[in-house]
Amino acid sequence: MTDPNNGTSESARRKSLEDLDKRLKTARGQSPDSAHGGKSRASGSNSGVAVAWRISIELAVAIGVCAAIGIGLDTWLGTKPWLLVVFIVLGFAAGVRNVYRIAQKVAAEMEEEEKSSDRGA
Amino acid sequence: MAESTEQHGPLEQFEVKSLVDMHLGGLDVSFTNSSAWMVLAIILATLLLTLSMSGRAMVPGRWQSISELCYEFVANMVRDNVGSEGRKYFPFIFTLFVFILFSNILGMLPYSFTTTSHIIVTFALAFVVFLGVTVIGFLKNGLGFLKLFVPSGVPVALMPLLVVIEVISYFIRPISLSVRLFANMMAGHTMLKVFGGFVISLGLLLGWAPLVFLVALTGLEIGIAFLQAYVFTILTCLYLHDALHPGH
Repeated sequence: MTDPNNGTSESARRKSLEDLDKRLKTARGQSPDSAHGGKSRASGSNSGVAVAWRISIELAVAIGVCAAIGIGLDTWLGTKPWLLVVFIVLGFAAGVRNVYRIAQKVAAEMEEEEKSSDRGA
Repeated sequence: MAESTEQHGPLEQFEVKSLVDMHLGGLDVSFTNSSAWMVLAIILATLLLTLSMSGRAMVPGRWQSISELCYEFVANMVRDNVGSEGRKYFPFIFTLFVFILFSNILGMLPYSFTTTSHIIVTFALAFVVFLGVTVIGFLKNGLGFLKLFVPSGVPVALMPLLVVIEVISYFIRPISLSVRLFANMMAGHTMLKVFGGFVISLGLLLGWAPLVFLVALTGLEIGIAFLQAYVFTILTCLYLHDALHPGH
């Protein structure tokens, strides 16, 4: 960013940035060590809407794509409708798996946020 | 879908028109209005980011603040979701975010063309992410990357089924990533056009109701333009995280 000593090594640069960060944080009246442990504002906007958009399409697409694969394989192998049935079930499972994974991550983030806000207060 | 009898169907805005006809070995590589808006998005993004940062003031002005806000937003996203190893991939993720954001925002201009409302565009973006992440995963972890498909702590009897499900859910990613962006942009812009049509057809007397709704919808669409760029980027970060740490 606006770093004047561009030529110095990465670690020295980081150090000077961290130093600046610390000074900024103290100037704002926050404790400096909550800066890196706590979640930044950017990911704090992990609002319900963003999560909802991420999750909702996941399930639909998984089922849709797997149904398409099933139909394709069925017409190719002449095994109507069995592969379609199998793939829809698999697609549902894969979709739920993806949704579960996102939900798990969001839950972990929320927990961490709670913990860090407890510590900060 | 669109009534061709009508002067302006709601889906007409998505029509790709060729501006400069070009053919390369039997392939149609014409410079279309879609290409033009993509180029415009890149030029505007480059101009905004370079001109606003040309001052390099320690205390940023308005324009520099915009650039720094973008930078910090993506940098924090990468740090929180990928970890410190993700710093290397920041340029790509930042480019991706800015390009999608500018395409979405430019699409909100009247008479403009929304490049991200075409699934082939979003799919190309998502597929690049998918390929890149897969290659990085194999380069960083070798065959250990395949651990991603083997959930830990499950009975052996269930293993084949779960591996199949994991593999499918992995290959669904580029499609869900592209469909999410494309469907949101397309649905939103179609809605805008449909309600715009209501305003005209209901006339001076009744047209106010859809107009009020249209104003609200425009605000929502601008929000979605940002949100979808954010969602696309954060999912890229999560996939990258999976590629770097396939263990869990």
